Amino acid sequence: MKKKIMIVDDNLDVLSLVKKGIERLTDEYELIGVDSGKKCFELLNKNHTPDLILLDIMMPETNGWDVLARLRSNKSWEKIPVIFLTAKTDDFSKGFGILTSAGYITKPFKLEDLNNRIEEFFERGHING
Amino acid sequence: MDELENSKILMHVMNSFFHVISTKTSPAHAWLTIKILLQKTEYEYDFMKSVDVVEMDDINVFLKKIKQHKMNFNIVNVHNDVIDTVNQQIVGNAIQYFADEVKRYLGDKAGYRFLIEFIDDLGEEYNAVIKGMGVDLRFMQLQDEISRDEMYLSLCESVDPIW
Repeated sequence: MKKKIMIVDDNLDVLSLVKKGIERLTDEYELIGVDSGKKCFELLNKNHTPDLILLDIMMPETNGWDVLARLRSNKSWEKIPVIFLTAKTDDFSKGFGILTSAGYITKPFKLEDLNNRIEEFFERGHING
Repeated sequence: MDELENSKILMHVMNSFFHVISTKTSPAHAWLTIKILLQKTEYEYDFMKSVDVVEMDDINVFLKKIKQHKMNFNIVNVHNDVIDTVNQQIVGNAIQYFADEVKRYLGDKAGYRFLIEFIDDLGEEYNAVIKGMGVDLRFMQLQDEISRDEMYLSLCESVDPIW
């Protein structure tokens, strides 16, 4: 069965690029993109539980930090793995991001690299050391 | 000065961690960070199970509470019946472990900056209290500065002189 990956990013170009790019590289995943934290929770509430969430940090309304905290405070969603996919490259964001998630990938990235990291995650359960 | 109870000290220390981490990510994410770090600390120090991060059933209610209580908001509940009986040096070791974990994830530069802000938020009284428990934050800060200076010096030495 295909692994389900949800991408949460307010940039529609990123959503489309990641979805189409990864689907071109492999048919192992079923990707779904949403452009806000709100839509992410709407889907989760409809029992669309992904095997992995790729989460942007800098988003209007609900940022990625708060999306992750809300996921972890809910018994039904607390175990859903999250990898940050973000343009935030400062040491504080990286450090606290790695501490609280399954991985931290910074933009820009190559689709092949992203695909490798996703593969690595499904093999090891985490990335970033 | 009367000796402060462990529960009171831990409450203050955790609140300071929460304040500083909140400014780096967000208050809700700082809640998660404290929760994860407390779980890690519990593995090493069983008595830390008496320190629970507050529940966050609804993120909006949580954020509203923080706004309402500002600096008086407590990020943890401390069950003092157990924790207050523990030797203060051992509680100090747990605090040290918690601080070291934060620094380990942040790396040298951000870890150093975090330490400075943490010392500041903690205040003079509590810096002195935890120093008495074996957690000397200013010494840690100094160690960071020395290792940075040493790194700088070794870089200077490795560069060929310009004649």
